[in-house]
Amino acid sequence: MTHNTTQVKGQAEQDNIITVNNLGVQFEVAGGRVSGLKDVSVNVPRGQIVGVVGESGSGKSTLIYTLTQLMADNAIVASGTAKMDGADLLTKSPREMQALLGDDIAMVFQDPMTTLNPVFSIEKQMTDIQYRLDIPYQEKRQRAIDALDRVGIPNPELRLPRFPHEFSGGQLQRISIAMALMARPKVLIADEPTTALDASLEVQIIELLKELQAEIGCSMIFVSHHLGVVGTLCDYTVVMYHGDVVEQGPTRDVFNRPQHSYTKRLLACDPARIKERSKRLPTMNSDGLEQIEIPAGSYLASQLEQAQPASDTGKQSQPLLDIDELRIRFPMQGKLAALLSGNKDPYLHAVKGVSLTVDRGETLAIVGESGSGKTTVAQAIQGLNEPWSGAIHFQGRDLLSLSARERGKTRRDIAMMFQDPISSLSPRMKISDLITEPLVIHGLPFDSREQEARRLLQIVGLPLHFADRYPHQLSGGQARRVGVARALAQSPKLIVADEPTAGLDVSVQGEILNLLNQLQEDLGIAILIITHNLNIVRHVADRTLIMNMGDIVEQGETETIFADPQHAYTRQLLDANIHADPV
Amino acid sequence: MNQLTQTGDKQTPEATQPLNENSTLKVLLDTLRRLTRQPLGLLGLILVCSVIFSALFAGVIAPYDPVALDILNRLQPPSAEHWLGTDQLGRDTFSRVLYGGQIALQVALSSIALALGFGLILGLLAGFGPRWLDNIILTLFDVVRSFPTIIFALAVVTLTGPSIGTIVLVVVVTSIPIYGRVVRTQTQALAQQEFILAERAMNASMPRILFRHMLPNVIGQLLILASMDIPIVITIEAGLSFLGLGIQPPTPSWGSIINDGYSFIRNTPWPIIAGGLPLIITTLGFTFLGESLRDIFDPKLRKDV
Repeated sequence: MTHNTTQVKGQAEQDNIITVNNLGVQFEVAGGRVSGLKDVSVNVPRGQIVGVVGESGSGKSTLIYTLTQLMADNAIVASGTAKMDGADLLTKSPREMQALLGDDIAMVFQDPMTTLNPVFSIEKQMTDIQYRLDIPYQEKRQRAIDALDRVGIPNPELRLPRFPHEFSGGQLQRISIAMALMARPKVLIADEPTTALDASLEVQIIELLKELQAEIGCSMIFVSHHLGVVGTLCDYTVVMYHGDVVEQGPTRDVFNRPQHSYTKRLLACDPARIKERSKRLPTMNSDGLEQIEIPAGSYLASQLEQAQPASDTGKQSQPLLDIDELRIRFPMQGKLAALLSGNKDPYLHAVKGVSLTVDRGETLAIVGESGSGKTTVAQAIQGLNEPWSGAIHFQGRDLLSLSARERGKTRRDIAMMFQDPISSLSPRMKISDLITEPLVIHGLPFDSREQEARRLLQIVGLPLHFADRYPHQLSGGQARRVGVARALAQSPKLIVADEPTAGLDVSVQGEILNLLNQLQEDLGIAILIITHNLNIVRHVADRTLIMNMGDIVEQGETETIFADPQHAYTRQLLDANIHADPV
Repeated sequence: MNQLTQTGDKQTPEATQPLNENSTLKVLLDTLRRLTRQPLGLLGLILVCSVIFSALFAGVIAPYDPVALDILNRLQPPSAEHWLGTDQLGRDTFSRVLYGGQIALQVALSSIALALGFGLILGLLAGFGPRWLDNIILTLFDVVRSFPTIIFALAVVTLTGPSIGTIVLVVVVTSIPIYGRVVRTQTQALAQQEFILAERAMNASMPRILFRHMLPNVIGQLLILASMDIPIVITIEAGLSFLGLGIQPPTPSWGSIINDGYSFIRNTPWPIIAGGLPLIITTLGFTFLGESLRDIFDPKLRKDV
């Protein structure tokens, strides 16, 4: 450790609040140690924002959790130092660390829904965290109100006694930020604070963080896999890869003149930075143009042979999917309770008259914020909820008038990919059983489950031994591929993909989209993408449909919408979309 | 790290060979193999196996007839002739404990298996079925639970007469709601999860969702509950036998051995110790076994994958 001292002295002149030198962290697992961080050196200058970017598993979270001693029990600091204002963070006793956290260091976490305690009111939680201050309760309460007001919660006085579930996700994240900043910390650590939020909320939260940081004058460590966000917000950028810092420097330099090949590729993968519309996106390991082979003997291959002529003639006839004036409402009150309270409309109108068509081999994107009703439309197509009125025609048949049995048969031609890749896989089943299940359910011909599973894994580019794994052993990107394999197994005519890129970093996102795109070309599958990620819509969707509050506000060719948005809401969405270049 | 990569490599050749379909035997052997790797699981397995073995072969192992009286040698402490001493009528306690194990296991295993099966099915239906079904099943559960077990047993015995069958019936009826409620709550929570929605989107039938996707996720908790219930059931049997509603004397059961012992506790503690020891061994054995089985059935808790 002695050889580090000179370095620390040298860097102290720059006035860094946090200096991390040659930090190495390992995890003890059954059968040995796995490296989490390798020789990481990072400085956080006083009053500046440092962004840490990298894909999942790159060690960015390990870094901040090591600084705050919030690591899992099996983590071991193998080498290096981490100091804050000259005091060693790694050797602090739990009691000393406790004094530091929430006072000098404050944190904001990824999911605002789970970071606040659901059984206590916001008032209780916000006054409780001021326990170190020796001031009367009324004063603490007033400070909480002021803090809420500062982060833009309307009527803070009235809303203070409310509970977390009575706030929206964006508001909860504002409250978390208010709580973190109430102590006026020297360092704010934000761990993917906008990942769980919609694009337009993301912009608002980033603006808020930037404002508050300047106002309080604290330093900030901002961890994200979203390049655009880091480019917009941060003064310095640290790029991490496999537990290593591959590049760091002022954000402008890193984004405009990347030195390391990883950073270059990472930037090249970001669909927001690709000016030309392209259905094939570059990924970390390729330019996205390679072809995937569909193994002979699989059910898909047998469909491929038949599919060729069908996709040529299909275009002229009626659309594959035709939704007409679809309305869906959910009861908010029982019928009797509504009658008694005189509520004439005890329903939540989730979808208010949506009409759309999807042609064979086409990609349609439905774009909207959460609560816009886009997922409800998707679920209606697959019969997962009951529309109130309207019609859904698939291949010319009215789905809503079919018997449950007949309806079930149509599900063979429609596959759905769900939002959460891991929790949409049955947890006690092996991957091989999961991806071949559609074939079993629909009684389709295949020679053996194991064989078919291997062919499907090959198509989606997963190693064959994954057949014996369970869902919880997969990363988000791998689980997403399993989702694609399962959607493809029965060779559907339409894939409904709900947020197919949520939580994925740009490279994996590109791989999944390329995969879907090629299968679309080969098999003539129509894809309905439901998303709030406009950057990918611009590249992959033929047509785009914008939804807001259960209504379609605008629809048309994707390029037309992006070039010349007609509706005010569309323009607002496009403006909120974060561009990757540093401002 | 080295070891990690090694195990990773081992999987690959295995996966490239054609895997035969999972036969029941293979799963059973696999479970046994995993069980013996955990110290507590192995201990549980040994304890449970020895209890079952001694009950099955009671006739061979037992040195005396369990009902043969020998008034002259009553209330003897353990000796070379009588390993666990004798009771108030001079009967050999060790032989009685062995034969008592037969009764205990018959009652415990059969009633818990039945209660678990019915509870599982009713709980799944209540949790995933239509709301009216849920209401009916829950009402039934509440009605059953509102009877004290002993009063209910009295009523049943009055109608059918005392026998092992009566005890099993009473235990099954009164424990179904316990299992049913656990399963129902779990099922309701699972029904909200995205993977169930995904199965519905694939057109999976209701039985398929219930038995292939819900059941493996609730069975773990049930196994624990069941293994901890086995000693409770044995005590219920003892209690009912004490009231004269269960096993009739002179047939030995662990419960009646302990109850007999209470009357003579001032003379000798040995009958109580002799009746209590197998109860403790059985309880520990089934609890360890149950916990290890849960770990094995839940892939998330598996440490060796």
